[in-house]
Amino acid sequence: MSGSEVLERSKNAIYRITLAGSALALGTLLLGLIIYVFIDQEADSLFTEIYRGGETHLLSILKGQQSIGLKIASIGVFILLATPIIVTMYSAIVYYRAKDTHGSILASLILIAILMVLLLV
Amino acid sequence: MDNYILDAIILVGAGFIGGLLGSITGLGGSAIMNPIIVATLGLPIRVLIGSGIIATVATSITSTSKYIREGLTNVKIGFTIALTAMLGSIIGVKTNLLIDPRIIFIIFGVVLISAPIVGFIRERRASRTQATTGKNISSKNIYLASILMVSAGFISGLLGIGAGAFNVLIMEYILLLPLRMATATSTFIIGLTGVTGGILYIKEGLVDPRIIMFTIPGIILGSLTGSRIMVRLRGRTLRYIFTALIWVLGIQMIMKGLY
Repeated sequence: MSGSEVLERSKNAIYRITLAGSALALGTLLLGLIIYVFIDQEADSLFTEIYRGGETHLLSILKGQQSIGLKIASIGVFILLATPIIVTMYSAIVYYRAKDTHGSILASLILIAILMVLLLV
Repeated sequence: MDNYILDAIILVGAGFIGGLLGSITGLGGSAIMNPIIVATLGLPIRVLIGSGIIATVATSITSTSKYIREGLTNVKIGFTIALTAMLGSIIGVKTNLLIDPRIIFIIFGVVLISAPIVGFIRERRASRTQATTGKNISSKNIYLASILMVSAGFISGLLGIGAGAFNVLIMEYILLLPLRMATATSTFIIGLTGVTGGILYIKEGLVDPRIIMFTIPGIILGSLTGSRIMVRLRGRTLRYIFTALIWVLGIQMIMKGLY
């Protein structure tokens, strides 16, 4: 398969990844919202924590004693952030397979930059 | 409970208005949503900015899937200039954490006022620019665009907005991309700059899932309504009214920063 064919075919795959990522993330956020409002019934204290300077750290929310709805919504946020990273990883592989050195280096640099932000900055 | 219902309505409504006006004026949802929430609920600006940048990622990936299928996104150019935009985003977030919130209000206001002006300049000059397909761009133009993208990324990281109006301007005039391709590629880049800024704001504990889960459905509904209105919008009167509304929000932000 030629380089251009690989790139053309990857368009559909990238489309599916972004569509799946956005649907999954938005679905998770919506599920979190529904559980938070109707099941956890923590509605009364919606913003008291923010007003009082309380816990807004996503990782602490995931580990802590907060409501299930809030935890699910936090997972939705992480899925949102993971989608562009997965698209970049996939593009790097596609460019590499298509022997497009320039494209694969660029995509890899983006991934390295994100990794550095995650670990070092 | 009553307060909660009002808060929830305001958040969903602010997201809807942000998505509606943002898609018509090219500003993006959180740029308009955040000033509304500041004025009504008075939530801390940094938490709103941190949560707003996550909202830009949501709108970015939702639109990117459509643009990629239509073949409008130039992924390679996107990757090339996204690198420097991401660097700008990191500097923007770090600046946000260092400066006084009142200065953030003033910069936010200035960006809100200047963004529609950028849009008008772009429209006026659009007919004079000869667009290319993006395949034969000189390396000099790529370097220049990459340098300028640092500033677009900086605005995005500093204020938690997509800064799409600035991205499109750079790609249309420096890289000579057609408007639709520039818009699609800008949307793709916003996802990457948003991830960079979002990770940093999460690390600082400035992203609140409560704000995100209430505003994102509003933003998406507002953007869909806005894009439908855009198709039917023939005269410029309604657009001028929307621009005036954004300027009011911008002035209100500057005043909040000054007094």
